[in-house]
Amino acid sequence: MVEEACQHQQSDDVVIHVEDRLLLQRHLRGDERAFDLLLERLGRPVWALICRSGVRGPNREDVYQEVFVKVHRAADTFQPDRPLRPWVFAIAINTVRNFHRNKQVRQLLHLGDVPERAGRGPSSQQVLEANESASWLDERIDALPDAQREVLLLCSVEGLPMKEASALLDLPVNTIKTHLRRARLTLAADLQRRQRAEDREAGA
Amino acid sequence: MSDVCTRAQEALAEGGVAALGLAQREHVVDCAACSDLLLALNALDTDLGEWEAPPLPAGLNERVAAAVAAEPLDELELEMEPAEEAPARGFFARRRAAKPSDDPSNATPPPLRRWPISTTVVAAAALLMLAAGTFAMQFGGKVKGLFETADAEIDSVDSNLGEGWRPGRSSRSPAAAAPAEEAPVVADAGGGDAFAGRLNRSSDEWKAMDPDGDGMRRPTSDLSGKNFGDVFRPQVRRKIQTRRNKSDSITITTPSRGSRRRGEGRAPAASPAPPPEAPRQAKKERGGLTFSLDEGPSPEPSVVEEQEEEAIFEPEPVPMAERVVAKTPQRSAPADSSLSLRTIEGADEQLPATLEEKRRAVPLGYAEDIPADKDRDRSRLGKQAAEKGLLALIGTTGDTSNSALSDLLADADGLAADVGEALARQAGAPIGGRYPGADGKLDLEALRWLEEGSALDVPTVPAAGYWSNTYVPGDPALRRLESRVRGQREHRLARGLEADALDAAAHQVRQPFDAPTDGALGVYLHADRRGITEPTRMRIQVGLQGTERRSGRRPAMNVGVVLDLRGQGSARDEGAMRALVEALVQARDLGDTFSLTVAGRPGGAVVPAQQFRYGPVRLALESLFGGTPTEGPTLGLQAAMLQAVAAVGATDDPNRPLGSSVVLLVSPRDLLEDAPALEAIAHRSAVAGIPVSVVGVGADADHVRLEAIALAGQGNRRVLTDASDADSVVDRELSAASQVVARAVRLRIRLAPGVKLVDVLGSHNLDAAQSQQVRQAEQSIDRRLARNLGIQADRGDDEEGIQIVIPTWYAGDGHAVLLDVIAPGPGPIADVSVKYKDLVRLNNGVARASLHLGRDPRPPGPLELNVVKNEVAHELSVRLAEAADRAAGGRSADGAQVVRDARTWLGSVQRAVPALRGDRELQRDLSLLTAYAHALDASSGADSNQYLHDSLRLAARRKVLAPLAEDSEGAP
Repeated sequence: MVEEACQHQQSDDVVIHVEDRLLLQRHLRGDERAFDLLLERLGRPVWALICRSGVRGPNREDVYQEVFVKVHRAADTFQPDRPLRPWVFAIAINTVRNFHRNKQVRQLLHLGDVPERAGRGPSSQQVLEANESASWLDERIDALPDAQREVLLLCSVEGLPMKEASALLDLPVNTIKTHLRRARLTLAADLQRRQRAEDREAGA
Repeated sequence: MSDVCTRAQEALAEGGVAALGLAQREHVVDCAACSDLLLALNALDTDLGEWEAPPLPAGLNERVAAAVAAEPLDELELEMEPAEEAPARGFFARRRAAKPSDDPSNATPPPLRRWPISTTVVAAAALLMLAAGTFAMQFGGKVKGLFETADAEIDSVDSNLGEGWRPGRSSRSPAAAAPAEEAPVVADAGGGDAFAGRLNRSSDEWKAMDPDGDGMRRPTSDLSGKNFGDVFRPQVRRKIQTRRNKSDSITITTPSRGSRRRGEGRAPAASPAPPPEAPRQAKKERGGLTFSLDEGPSPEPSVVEEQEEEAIFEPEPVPMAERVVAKTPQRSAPADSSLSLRTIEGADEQLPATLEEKRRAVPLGYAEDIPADKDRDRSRLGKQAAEKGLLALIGTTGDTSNSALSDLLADADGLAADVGEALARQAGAPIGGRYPGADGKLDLEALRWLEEGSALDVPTVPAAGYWSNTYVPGDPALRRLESRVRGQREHRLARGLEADALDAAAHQVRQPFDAPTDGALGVYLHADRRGITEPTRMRIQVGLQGTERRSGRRPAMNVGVVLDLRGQGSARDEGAMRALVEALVQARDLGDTFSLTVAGRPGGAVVPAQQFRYGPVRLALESLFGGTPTEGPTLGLQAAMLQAVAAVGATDDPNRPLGSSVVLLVSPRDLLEDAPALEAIAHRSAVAGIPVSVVGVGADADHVRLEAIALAGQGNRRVLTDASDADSVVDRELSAASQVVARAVRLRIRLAPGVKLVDVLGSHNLDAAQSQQVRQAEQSIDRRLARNLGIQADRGDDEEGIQIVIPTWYAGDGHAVLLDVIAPGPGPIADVSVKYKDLVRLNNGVARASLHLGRDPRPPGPLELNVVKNEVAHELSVRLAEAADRAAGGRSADGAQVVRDARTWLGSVQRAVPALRGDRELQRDLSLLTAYAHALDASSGADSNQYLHDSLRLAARRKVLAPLAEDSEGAP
């Protein structure tokens, strides 16, 4: 049925892959292949969101796993007439928030950082730091307030419409606009300062 | 930040360029902060787009799948609840009721329901459909009519925008012409498609008609690789060119679609359709063909009117036939020769087809008495001209011998061949090359000048680095010449000799730059033509115009005067210097601080700032000029300057406006070996915020070196001829600061890729040391104004392109910078930005302009012709200076010849460009040259020659420099 109905429908300017929505229902009905397909389709964007949200090192894999376990657990709460991706992103956003909150609490309680597992090879951090521009973006986006960072990642990076972001984050659209505006203005100002510094160095 | 800026920046950050309204887009173009933000946001979006996340670790998904598989799922009840048990809640009501918590994974999942449809809903839907059907039946027709009307309006707007002009609807007479669909359509003479009936074309057709988007604003959100000239191109105002023929109907000419005629105030059906492709009816004289000098390229003689722009140049009707004496470079026309110089138009279908008729076509004008055996040469050239569709020109002399005629023919043939090649490429357009749209009737002189200026195989220079500033407010050479000429004139008149004020008729071309109203400076960028179709050499002009507003009464001044009293000066010069110091005393106002230091005589700092009053100053002057020995050291000029700079610096208040502390060097003598050191002192002083101005006294002052010192010191240059000038010199110097409207004006000219720079007329490239001086001077002003006036410091970075830094700009001044460039073809040509410290609004100002040329074949308009006239003025200035040099040393006859040649050249240029034929400024220049030729012919004696030499030099400078308001004499 799903394979036959390989079609798209438009909803709020977001193309909803019918297949994706029904994958979760198939998973609920015991289709073993369904969740694997879901991971293939949504794993990469969720991974990117986690990496860009300030989660470092092996913690990313833990957070990633936690996100999809929650997706599995909350599969029956998902409304099939809505797009799946924002719903999954909402879970990812909340999981990342929890991660940062726990980290902060542990630091305040002098319990040290969240224990990291032994690396399984070249860490994501090392690969990322090889790219100078990406590390600058990481740093500046990390420095943004949480709400602004989340809106920026969802709207400017992932391309979600503001209405979707509003529903996902449970914030009014105008608030979303404000967060996005402030985030982009801050980053634009940072970029201008960085370019002026580079120009001075080049001219010196 | 202003509200406008805030709103624009917020909109940009929220939604990008698409979120900006039209007014906001215009604001962003003009606002440096908003422009920078737009660029930064674009760069940010690019970075975010390219921001790659690290790859998903191998095996991670498998681990997740394993973790998920280890957790059993609870079975969910997926059957629908009975409709009668579940309330008919809408989708949103259901969402609100089941609002997720912060962690959706922790929320209690609401039961999965299907949307029940109740009877009430069905009934409501049915009623709605019934109402809609009733409405449609009753009002559908009217609604349809509204849509049709809207369609018609949209079509009308589309047609106007696609055309880029409004047929028959000028801004002055909206209802002048009949509607487009009622006008009879005639076939055009230019070979384009005829309009037929109502202008109803698809958007693709409109795009085909206007591929370059000339006249249409075309903003885009895609900024990659574009500059502001591409994105926010100023809308070109289209003009209606109308031609009035003898029947007073209006023919509208479109750029590429030929022409069609519509009646004015008459029923369109009654107006007879004019014959298609009506050829030009030239006056017949021989062989069925007639010749005329001054008809335009259109089928009918006409006066071209510009309806939407005020024409600076108003062409006047010219006679049908005119005899003109042409002169080749090697020969002079005898006074009694029956010369006739005629030109023909080429590419005319009426040219005879048969060989006999071709032979008799005589496309080249000849004197009537040329022997018949020259028909062979004549017809050969004529055939060549006819085949190439040439506009050819030949002059003859009274010497009709074969050799002379052959030489002339050879000259003309060679030139005609060159022109013909160009014309052939132009495919029948009027003369190509430099001035598309001219009717092509040229004289040899103009032809040569135009061809030289169009040559592409010339060396080019990098369009980068710092170039010298050509804006010279109150040019001292001008003042020096003025005072000298005035003095000589008075002397000659006193002796009963002729002394016409010929130079008073020489003026800079009136510039069409509007004074800005929203800032201290405005910038304009134009070319000498409207469009190009191939690699072309052209002139582009950057126009700068200061606002008329002055910045208020003069501030309290802190002036250190250095008197150069080395050697023995003339009584006149010493009297002038004494008067200058006394004038300073008189002009001293509350808060002013003056000091006096002398060089070359004992005394040193003869009057410190605290003692600068009438009494002490009077005593000091008596000592210095009255022969009374004074005490104190005898300082050299350099030491005196250093002492004065130190004295002014000690009393300098950084909170005062820049220019309120100044050192004034007054010298009647040669500076010789002191000049380089004085320049260095002046530069350091200016960098420290204390400009150095100079006053050259008398005829023997070293004005050249004084100019260099003032340039290095960012100061003013004055000339003091005698004591009577003292008051005005002091007044101008003290009030100069209040007349300044902008400082640290940084002009940046970027040529588009592929456009090459031949020269910046009147300027030169600065070397590394000079460029560094310019940077230092600019940054010193930047820092000082940041300190004094709170204008944010924003300098220190070099920019790409040609950079010219102008330290000071005075109220009401306009200035043009001409560039000689070679463009590869249609497209972007250049963009200009001007950053400045706005002393009127006390902020950083920026003005921008860009230039894009399409394939517009129309002749130059007023703005383009202004560029042409500025270039002509530049050339004329060079020729006048050359005539002045010849006149010096008693060679007045040589000078007269140069002046005559200049007159011939100017006259022919004026004829070459139809729009310049009735130009009053050029007519005045022609009269000026005629007068100078007569005066030089009549000149006798060294005295007279010297006077004319100075007068010619003054006229040469006046042609390219704008005088200060108080110096204008006989302004147009």
